[in-house]
Amino acid sequence: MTRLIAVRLWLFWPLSALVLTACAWQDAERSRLSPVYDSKTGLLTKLSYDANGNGRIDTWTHMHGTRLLRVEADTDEDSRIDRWEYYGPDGELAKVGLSRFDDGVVDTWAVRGPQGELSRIETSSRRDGRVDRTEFFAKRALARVEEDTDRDGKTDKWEIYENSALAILALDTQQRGVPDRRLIYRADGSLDRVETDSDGDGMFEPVNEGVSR
Amino acid sequence: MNRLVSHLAVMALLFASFPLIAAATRGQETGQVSGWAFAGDRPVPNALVRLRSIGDGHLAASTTCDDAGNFAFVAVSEGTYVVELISPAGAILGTSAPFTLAGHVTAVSGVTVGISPTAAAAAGLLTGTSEGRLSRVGGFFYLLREPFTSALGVTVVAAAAASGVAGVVAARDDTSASR
Repeated sequence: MTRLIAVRLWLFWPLSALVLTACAWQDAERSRLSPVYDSKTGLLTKLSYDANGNGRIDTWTHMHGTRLLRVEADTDEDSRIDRWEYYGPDGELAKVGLSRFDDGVVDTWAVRGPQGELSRIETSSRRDGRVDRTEFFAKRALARVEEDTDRDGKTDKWEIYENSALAILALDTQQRGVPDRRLIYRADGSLDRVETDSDGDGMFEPVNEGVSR
Repeated sequence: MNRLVSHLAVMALLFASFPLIAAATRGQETGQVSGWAFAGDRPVPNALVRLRSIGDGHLAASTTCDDAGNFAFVAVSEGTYVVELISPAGAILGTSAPFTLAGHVTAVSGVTVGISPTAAAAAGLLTGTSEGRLSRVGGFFYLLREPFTSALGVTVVAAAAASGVAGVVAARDDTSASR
C-alpha cells in the first residue's frame, strides 16, 4: 500500500509539472492572440497576433469562422502593413501582396502556382489596385511579361524571355488588342529583325531585313 | 606659325560643324529623351540603356544610367522608339513602352524602363551598396525573394487552435511540401 502511494506520488509530481508547463505555455500563447467574433453569428472574424512575442500586435488574420481569408502583417513593425496574404477556398496560400515603397499601399502581388512555386508577379504601377503589368515565371525564371502601357484595359506590350534574356518584343501600336509589330532579338541582345502584321491577320512579315545591332 | 594657326582654325571650324553635317546626313535630330530605369522600388544604377527604333529596328543611341537610374538621349531623330535596358552580360532585361518624337514633340521625358525585380537581382544589378536594403526584414526584395515559404495565416491559426481559442481549427501547413 505504501509502495503504491509512493509510485503515485512519483508519477504525480512530474505529470503535474508537465500540465502546469503546458497551461503556462497555452496562457502565454493566448496572451499573444486576440480573437474577434461576429456579434450576430458568433463566427470568428479576426485574430490579432503578436508574431514575434514582443508584446506588440503585428499580424491581423481575417477569418470567416474556421476559414482563413487573408492576413495583413507588419513584419518590420514600422506601423505600416508590408505583407498581405490571400487564401483560397481550400485554405491554401494563393498569393502574397507587397508594397514596393513600403508605405502600406499594396501594389505588387506574387501569385502561387499549383506546385507552390512562384507563378507570376502582378504590379499596379499607379498603385490604384489595377494590375497593368504581369510577369510570368517558369522554373523560377522570367518567361514573359504582359503590360497595358496606356492603361486602357488591354495588353499592348508583350515580352518573351529565353534564358533570362529578351527574345521577342511584341507591340500593339494600333490599339487592336493584338500585336502588330514584333522585334526579334538574338541571344546576344542584338536585333535580328522587325516584323509587322499591318492587316491584323496574325501573319507577320519582316519589314527591314538586315537592319540590326 | 600663322599658317599653323589658320590650319587649326579651319580644323576647329570643321570639328564644330560636324554635328550639323551629321544631322544633315542622318535626317532631323531635334529631340531629346529622358527617363528612369527601375526594378521594384529602386532605381537600377549605372546600367546600359539603348534607344531602339521600332520602325526599322535601328539602334539610335546608347548611354549609361547614373547612380539614380536616370538616363538621357540627346539629338534624337524623329521616330518611334523603345528604350532597352541591358545587363552586364549583354542580355536585354526589359524595355520601355513605345514613344514618339515627331513634329512639335521634340522632347519626351519620364520614360520608364521597369524591369523584373527578380531578373534585376539575378543579373547582379541590385547588389553592392544596396545589398543592405535588399536583405532588410520587411523590405520589398526581402519579401519577394521567397514569398511563399512562410504562411503567417497558417501560423496564427495553428497558434490559436493550440491555445484553445474558440471557433478555430488548425489549418494544414501546406507550404512545407512546396519547399
